[in-house]
Amino acid sequence: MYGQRRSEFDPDQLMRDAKVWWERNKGRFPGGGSVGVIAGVAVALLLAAWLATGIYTVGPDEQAALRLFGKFQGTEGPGLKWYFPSPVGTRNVEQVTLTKRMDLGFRDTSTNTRPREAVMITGDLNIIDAQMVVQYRILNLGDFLFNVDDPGDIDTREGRPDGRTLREASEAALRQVVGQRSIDDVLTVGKEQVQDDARDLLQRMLNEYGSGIEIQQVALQQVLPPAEVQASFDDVVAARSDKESRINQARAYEQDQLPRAKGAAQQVVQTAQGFKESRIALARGEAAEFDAILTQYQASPEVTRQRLYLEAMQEILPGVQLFVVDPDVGTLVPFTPSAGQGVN
Amino acid sequence: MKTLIALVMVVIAASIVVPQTAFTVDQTQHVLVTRFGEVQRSISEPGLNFKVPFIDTAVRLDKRLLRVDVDARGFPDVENQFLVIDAYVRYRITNPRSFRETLVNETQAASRISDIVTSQLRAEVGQRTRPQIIGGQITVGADGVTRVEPILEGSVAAREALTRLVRERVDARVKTQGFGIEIVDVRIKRADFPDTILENVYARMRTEREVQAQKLRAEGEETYLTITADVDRQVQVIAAEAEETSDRLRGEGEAEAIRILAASLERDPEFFAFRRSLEAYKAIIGSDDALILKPDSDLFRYLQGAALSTP
Repeated sequence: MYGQRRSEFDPDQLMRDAKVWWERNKGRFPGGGSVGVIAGVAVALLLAAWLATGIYTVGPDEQAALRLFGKFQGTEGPGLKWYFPSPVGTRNVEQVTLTKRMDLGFRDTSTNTRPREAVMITGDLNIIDAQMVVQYRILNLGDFLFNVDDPGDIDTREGRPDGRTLREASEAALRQVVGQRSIDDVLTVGKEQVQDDARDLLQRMLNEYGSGIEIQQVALQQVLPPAEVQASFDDVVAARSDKESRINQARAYEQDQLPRAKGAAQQVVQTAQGFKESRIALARGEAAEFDAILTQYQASPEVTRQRLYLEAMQEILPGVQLFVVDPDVGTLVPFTPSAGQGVN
Repeated sequence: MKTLIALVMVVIAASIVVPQTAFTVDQTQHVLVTRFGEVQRSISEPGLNFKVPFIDTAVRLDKRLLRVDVDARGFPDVENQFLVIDAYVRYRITNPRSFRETLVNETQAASRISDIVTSQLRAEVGQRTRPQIIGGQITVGADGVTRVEPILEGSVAAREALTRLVRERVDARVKTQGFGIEIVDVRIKRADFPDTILENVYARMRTEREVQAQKLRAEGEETYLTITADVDRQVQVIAAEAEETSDRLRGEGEAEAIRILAASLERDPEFFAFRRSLEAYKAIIGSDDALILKPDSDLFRYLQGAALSTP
């Protein structure tokens, strides 16, 4: 062993040391170390120390609720404050300006689901899966702390009205509102209305409970049909785009066909216009020709007539078989003038 | 030294007696002062109070809004279809003395209240249809679209009207029983289909969607055919109108040509006839034709010696 073992804590030795110290130093205390004075000083020091524990600070975003012998006295704003220390006074300092958030149907991320909270029935007896976020703050700290008993949320263990009370009221409010609407409404256009109505109903319930909570916003996050029927809902979306594309096809047909038809029509009309104009032009030409010839003809009709007649005959007769018949004789007399030998 | 000992004695005695005598009633509490189990006083006003030490006991009860979770269970509606309803109740102890004497503590209170609420809920749910419990009136319009309107009783949503009625009944019941409590609210937290019929509900949802999808596709086809038929019609009309214009133009051309020629030819119809006849002969009489003429025809006039005599 280590020989004589020295005790680390020897109460008898400590008392003896204290006595020695006291005998040596008692003259230095006021009143010459009389017991009464010393007790008084000790009590005063203890009292001062106790009172000092009443000093506390309230942050800029906080409020303090004060109770004297358990009775609520009011709230105190930010700053360095003093209030009766325990057990006479009680103070609760809470953040009040901060907007808090509660997730319904999920926790923190949308994949961390709580199906029992999220699944609900719509007014047309369909099932949907809705995730919601409630944003709130403490409006009245006294009410918040002292009016509602809350057993605490399963997840947060928060025994305040923003624990299970808020969660259950939110569930009841959202389900009541969703129960008044069709699934299509909730999934699409009616979302805003659902949020507003749920917020109003929730606020009304929390006021009824005197919870001191102000609901700032109710926001639906993900609202989906159950996974079991998701494919059918997707098919409706696909059908809607099928419909659109079929209509677009018709529009394309329209855009293709109408201009073509109009072009073809123009072609027909322009051809006819061309015919009309050329026909008129030809007629004018012919008329002009006739007019010109007529003028000459009128100058010397007989000669011109003869000439024209004979020119024509000259042109015609060379090719044909010509018979001259004397009516008095009644026989055919073939007449074959040799080519080049004109009448002239 | 004696005074010090006396002082210590006083402090020790005080630390035992004071907590036994003075007690605080918190903002959130009722306190019953009982003597050997018998209630002497009931204090609901918060603050500092005194009692006889050791003999009297301070029993604390909660003054805040309390909560009872009613177990979820299936309730049959008027058509004997089940809905699983999960409700909660909020109540408050208004008369701590009665509460202490009848229900004793919160645990027992919870089970009694839960029983009463369950039986009242069962009675109310049993008189209503499923939509009345869920809260929406379903109507299918002429266009086949399902619409849901909130069901209101007075100005109150159906579900709330149901729970208000249950609250009133339960409140009246606990008042007549003298439980010393007040039922502040009854709420249906959840009303769900029983798990056994979920698959049927899903099947119905699927078929409803199939109808919708089919309708959308058919509507697309309808619009497609309407538009294309209209286009075909327009194309036909455009072509016909072009034909019409074309014919009119051609006619106008012909008419104008005739008018112009006639105006010219009118000046000497006989010369025109002569000239035109010659033109026609040229065109008509070909090389293979045979022509029979009388000797005294104009052509042969001079052949017969007429040339020798001047007219």
